Amino acid sequence: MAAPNKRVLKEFSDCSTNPPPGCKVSLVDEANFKEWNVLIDGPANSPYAGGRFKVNFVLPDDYPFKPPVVTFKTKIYHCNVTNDATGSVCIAMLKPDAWKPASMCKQVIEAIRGLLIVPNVDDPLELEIATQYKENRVEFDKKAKEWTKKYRA
Amino acid sequence: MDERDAEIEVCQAIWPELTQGQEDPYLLNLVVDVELNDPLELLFKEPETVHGEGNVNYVSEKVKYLPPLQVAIALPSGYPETAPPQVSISTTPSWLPREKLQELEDLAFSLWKTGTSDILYCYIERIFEQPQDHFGYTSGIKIGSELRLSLLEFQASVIKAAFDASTIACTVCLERKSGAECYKLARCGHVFCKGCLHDFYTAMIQEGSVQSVTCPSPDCHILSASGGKVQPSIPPAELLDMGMEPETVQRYAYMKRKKAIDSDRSIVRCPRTWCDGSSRSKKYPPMKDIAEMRELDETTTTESTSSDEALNSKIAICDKCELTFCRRCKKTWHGDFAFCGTSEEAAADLASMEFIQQHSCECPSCGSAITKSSGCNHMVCFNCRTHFCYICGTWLEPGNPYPHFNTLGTQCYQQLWVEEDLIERKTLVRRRVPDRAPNFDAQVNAILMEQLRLEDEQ
Repeated sequence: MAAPNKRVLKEFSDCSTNPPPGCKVSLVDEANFKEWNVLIDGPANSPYAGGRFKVNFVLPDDYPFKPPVVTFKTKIYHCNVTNDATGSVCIAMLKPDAWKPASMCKQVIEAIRGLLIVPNVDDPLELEIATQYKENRVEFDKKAKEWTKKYRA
Repeated sequence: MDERDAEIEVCQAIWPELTQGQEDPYLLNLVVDVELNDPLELLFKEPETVHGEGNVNYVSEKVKYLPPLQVAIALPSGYPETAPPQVSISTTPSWLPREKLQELEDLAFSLWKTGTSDILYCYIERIFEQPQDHFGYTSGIKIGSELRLSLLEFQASVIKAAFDASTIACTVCLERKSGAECYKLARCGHVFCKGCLHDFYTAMIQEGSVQSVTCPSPDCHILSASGGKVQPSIPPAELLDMGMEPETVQRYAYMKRKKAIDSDRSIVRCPRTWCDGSSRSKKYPPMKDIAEMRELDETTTTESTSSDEALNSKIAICDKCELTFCRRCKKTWHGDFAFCGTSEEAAADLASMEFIQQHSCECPSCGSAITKSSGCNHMVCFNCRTHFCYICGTWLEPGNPYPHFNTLGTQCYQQLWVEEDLIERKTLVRRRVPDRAPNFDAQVNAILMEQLRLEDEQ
């Protein structure tokens, strides 16, 4: 599968030289193009403003036929990111039936940034946080800001 | 210098495709491609129209590419002073009507006659203008139907050649490939390189994710009849077209069909452990040759529970080993009138069975249960036209059925007009007892016991 590997190189060079706004992409290990370190600045119009979040991308061997595995390494108070050691993310385009070989990592990064601005409360991983977001926004914002400050990457 | 040479030299500078004959340098050849910006309408006479001239039907096709005009121009000695240029134009196959070709050929003579200078230049320029002007036709060109296929094939080959010569950026491997290395998906028109399509589909089929054999573009979908988004599957024949191995495509077609059958509630699996077939159904005909499978119907594969022949009967026949079995109890077929399944299902069967037994008579030939709505007791079976007696179920002679009711001392004497309600149940030597399951009485008892128990509990 030589061609998809070449694609990983191309995608990385594009994402690292020309990343989406407020993002920075680098390799975890210089010798391995399949594990990316993505730093996302908290968007200005969100409770995550001022924060910085480290997100890990692992591209499987059969990438791009299979989606990248994306995890938050920085703790975040967000209903679509699990509040555990793994930091799993729920994004529609990463689901097996939605991911397509022509989907790109850059789109995933943009989607994550979008989730920081508007969480998807209808499909949450953390139900309590989603409920709080809907019913007690003030308390949610307070806690999200608190965590952002505390765990900044 | 011959005036002809000067004229040819000028024209060749403008149209390099203008060539001179090997033997006669004053015999010029020109190929004029017919590639149109606005499609031209072709009207093909339908072959089956045999009614008079006024009733001819036409099939219309709009085309952009047609076989080129082959133009041969001879400049005889004495041209341009004393001899006119001689032109002959043809097309292969000959789709442009002869009158039009004649008109274009005569144009050279008219130009010569008016005495214009640079006749060759003017003429070629006029000829090149012809295709975009649709050769002066405003309401389509009428052509014999025998040319339809070859003209459409010609157009397809031109489009394919242009595609093959183009350069395409494949959005899967992110590389630029020549069109010849790429494939355009028939349903959505998205283009990818054959290598990526091959690797992707092969991987998906190998791991059994046949539902992922769809266009690799994100958000490529069509709207289903119910308004939902559907990702159209790639039909097996198309996978062959893009160069996939027949074994892989065969596996894909097999699994696709099997998955559709497995998810259909009206279909039951064959009970034989060594057989992986399922009950036969018109919905899932046996697999055809994969090269002919150009359609994969997305809409009928799920949620079609009602209006299926399968639900009306318990009988099922395996499409693979041909075992005939009961779709309810999964045992070898035991006839429609045996009871099986859960006690509720058996109780329902029993109730309908009792109703049928009390209010119908069985045809002595085919066994159909027949109820008399009115009339005499000489019956004719709706199914097999057998004549029989509604009281005792005896077969009657079709030509002379009435002695059965007229012979003194017999069971049905004077009973021809006895109404259904008045037929004494006890006198009904009814009729063949339907095939019962061996444990029929035991099952009936079990149901009655269960009902008593439930009543007690309440």
